[in-house]
Amino acid sequence: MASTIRWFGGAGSPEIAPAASGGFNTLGFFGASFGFSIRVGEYNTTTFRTNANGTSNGSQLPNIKYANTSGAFVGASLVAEELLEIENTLATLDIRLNTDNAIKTQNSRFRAFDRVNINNNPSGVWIGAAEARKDNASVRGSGDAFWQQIYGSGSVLALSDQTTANATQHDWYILLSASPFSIGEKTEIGFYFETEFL
Amino acid sequence: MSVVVSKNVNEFVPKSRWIASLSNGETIYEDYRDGQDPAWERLARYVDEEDLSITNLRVQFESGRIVTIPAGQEGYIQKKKAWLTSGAGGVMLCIGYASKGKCLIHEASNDGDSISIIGVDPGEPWTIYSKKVRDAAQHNAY
Repeated sequence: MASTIRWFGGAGSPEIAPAASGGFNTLGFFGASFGFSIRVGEYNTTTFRTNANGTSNGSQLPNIKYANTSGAFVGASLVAEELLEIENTLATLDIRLNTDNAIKTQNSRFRAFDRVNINNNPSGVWIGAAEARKDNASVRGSGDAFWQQIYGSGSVLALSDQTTANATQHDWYILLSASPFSIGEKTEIGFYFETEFL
Repeated sequence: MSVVVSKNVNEFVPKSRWIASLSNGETIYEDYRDGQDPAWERLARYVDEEDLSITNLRVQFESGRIVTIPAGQEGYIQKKKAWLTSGAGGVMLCIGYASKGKCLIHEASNDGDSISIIGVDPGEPWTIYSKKVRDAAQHNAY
C-alpha cells in the first residue's frame, strides 16, 4: 500500500516541497517581514515557505508567535489567544498522511533536530511546539494547552492518536514558534515526523 | 458472514507483506481490498469468530528477505511506521509480540535495515491476542 506524508504550511497553504526538490523546501521564521531577523530573546513575527538557505520568498504562511506558556499571537494580532482556541486552519504546519486504504494511526511524533541526526538538538534556537485540534470555531479545542520546547530526542511532541475510524487521510496541525539564542542566521534546524498505522 | 481474508497469494496481496500462521493450519496473507478495513483488523475478527490463535507471524519483503517472530506468543503485533524529515522518508514494516503487558517490536525495511524496540503492549487493534488470553479476558469480564 502506498503511503505519502506531505507538509503544508497551515491548512490551505502551499506544500513545503521535499528537500531533494531544490524548490521551496524550507520553513523559515523571520522578524517583521521576509528576510528580517528575529531579535535575540524574541519570537518570530512572520513565517514563510522558503528555499534551503532562506533567501527566496515562497509565500507567507500562518504565523504563530509565542506569547506565554499557554498562549500565542496569531498572525498580526496584538492580543494573545489561548493555544486551545487556535483553529487548525491557523496552524503553522499541516502534516498530512495519505494512504491508498483507510487506516488508523498511533504514536505520531514531531521533533526538532540539527539536520544531521534526529536525536540531536537544533542549534542556536529555541523551538516551541503544540498540537492544535480545533476544527470548529464555536467549540473549544482539544489539543495542547501549553507550549512544549522540543529538542532532539530529549523532548519530542507527542501527537494525537487517530483511532476512532479508518480513513485514507490523516492531518496533524502543529503550532510552531522560534527564538534565537544568539545573533546570526540559524540553519541547523530540521523537523522530523513519524507515525504508525495498521 | 465470515470475514474476508486472503488464504493464498492473490491480486490483493502486496509483494512485501506479513504472513500469519493460525492454529487450524491456515496461512493468512496481508492484503488490501478497497472499502475494507485493514487486513490486520480483519484477521483479528477472523480469529475471534473462528476461535483461533496466531501461532506464527513473519514479514516477507519483495527482496525475498524474511523476518520472523518466535512461535506461540500471547499476542502478536503488526503495524507500519512512516516517517519524513528534511531529505528522506520511508515506511518500515513492523511485527512483534506481546507478553504480560510488554512487547518487542522489530522494525524492518526492504533494504535490510532493522531495529528492535522493547515497549508497552499497545493492545487492540495493534495486538491480536491468543485464544487463551481472549478467553481469560472474557472470563474476567464476567
